[in-house]
Amino acid sequence: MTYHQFLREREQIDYLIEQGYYMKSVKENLSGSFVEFEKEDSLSETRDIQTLHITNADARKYFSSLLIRQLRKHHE
Amino acid sequence: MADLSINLAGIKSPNPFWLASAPPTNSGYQVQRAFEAGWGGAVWKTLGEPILNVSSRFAAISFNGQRVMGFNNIELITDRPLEENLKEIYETKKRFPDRAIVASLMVEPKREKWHEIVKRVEDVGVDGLELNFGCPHGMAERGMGSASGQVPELVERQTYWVKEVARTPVIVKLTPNITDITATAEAAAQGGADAISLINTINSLMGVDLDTWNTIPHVAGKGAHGGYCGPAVKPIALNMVAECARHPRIRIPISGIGGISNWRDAVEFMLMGATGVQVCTAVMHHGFRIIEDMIEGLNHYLDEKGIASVMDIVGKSVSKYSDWGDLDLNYKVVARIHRERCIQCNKCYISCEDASHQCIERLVDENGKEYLKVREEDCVGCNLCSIVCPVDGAIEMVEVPSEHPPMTWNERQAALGRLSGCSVDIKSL
Repeated sequence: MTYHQFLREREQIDYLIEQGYYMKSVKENLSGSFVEFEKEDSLSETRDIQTLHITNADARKYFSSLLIRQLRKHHE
Repeated sequence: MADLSINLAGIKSPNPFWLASAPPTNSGYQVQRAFEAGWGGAVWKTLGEPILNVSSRFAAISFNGQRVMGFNNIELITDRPLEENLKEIYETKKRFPDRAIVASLMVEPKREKWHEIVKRVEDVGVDGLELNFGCPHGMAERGMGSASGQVPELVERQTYWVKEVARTPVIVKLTPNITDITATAEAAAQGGADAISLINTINSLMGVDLDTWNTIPHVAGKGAHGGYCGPAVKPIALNMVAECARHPRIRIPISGIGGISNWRDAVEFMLMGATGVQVCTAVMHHGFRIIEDMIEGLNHYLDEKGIASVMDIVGKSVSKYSDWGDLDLNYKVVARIHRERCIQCNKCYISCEDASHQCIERLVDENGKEYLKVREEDCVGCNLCSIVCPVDGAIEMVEVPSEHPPMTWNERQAALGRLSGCSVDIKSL
């Protein structure tokens, strides 16, 4: 079911956000959206990068809403 | 009782209902009978050099029991001498001084031709002029009508020529047979038009006779494209009126035309920016007396809403008409089937299975009775089930609260642009 696919992808997005990742870049093509998440470790001065392949339309809306929230927060 | 009078670019009439330039305004006899019935104005059937008509001329599409859903004609402009029409316009205006009489005009795209006809027509006391740049058949082959109306430069130039000598307001009537009607509307405004009217008829072929293989209509076995109008064209016309009304460079009044059959249609056109409306096919179908219901209905509507003047509703819905990119992607509705009203015809189920998102389930309750239920999490709110449902109120579209604030496509793309380093105004997010 489409809804279950949405739930799966939303969980993946939520998990990374909860772990302190933020959206670094989004590339969109015929296969959907590839969202690159990044987390900075201030202690080790390393950066960890994770990429999610988002195929569900509702999940694309979901990360887009979070992205706008992230950008607004960053701007404040 | 609300004030139904309008003022369209200086042309006043006691109500917003005018007869469009067409067969019902072919003569003084008809226009005077229309005014007796209560019509607020009339655009006299297009004047120009008298033409020759064919027989037959009209055809109609009936759909599912409703006669004349769409109507088509291959009739041309007036076939009577200008002098005869002018005499009848003069007499009609004298008898009905408070009604708007607008002369529709069509001549070759030559400056002196426009000057001549404008002067002669204004001498008999018309309240305004409507330049016919719209008719798609017959005259277009001679370089007039939509042949002119499809070329913005010609619209602008000819409007300018008319304005050089006109003493009354000039309305430019636009053809819908063009990709972007705002291009010609803007050209009319540039040429000095006081108002625009739209839409004229749409290119059409009504049908083919399956026995004779002749077109419908046909003239001795041959057919030609005609102009399509009637209730079927209303959504097309309404969109074009709205596009012109919200265009920042078309700041002139609009006279709405296209499938207007009752007061409700008229209100829709006025909310979408028309200062008044013109009616033709409904009169050809039902006669002049439909004006009684139109006036009464409009009056009741305005009184119920507590609106004192019909002019107060003009354009009130224009700001609600936008671009797809400005729609809220996070807004959601879902279908809900009310079991007590559902007749189990399964039309919604079939439509959803075959053409939508397969989110209606056929279930059986504890008593063994079958029922339909929407799986709301999979419903995209497309409306199809409620559209095909034959029972009013059996399927309701219900708004689902969103956990996220409104987000448009344009805002989303701006956000993606910011991530990739493109310069985007943060205020747009």
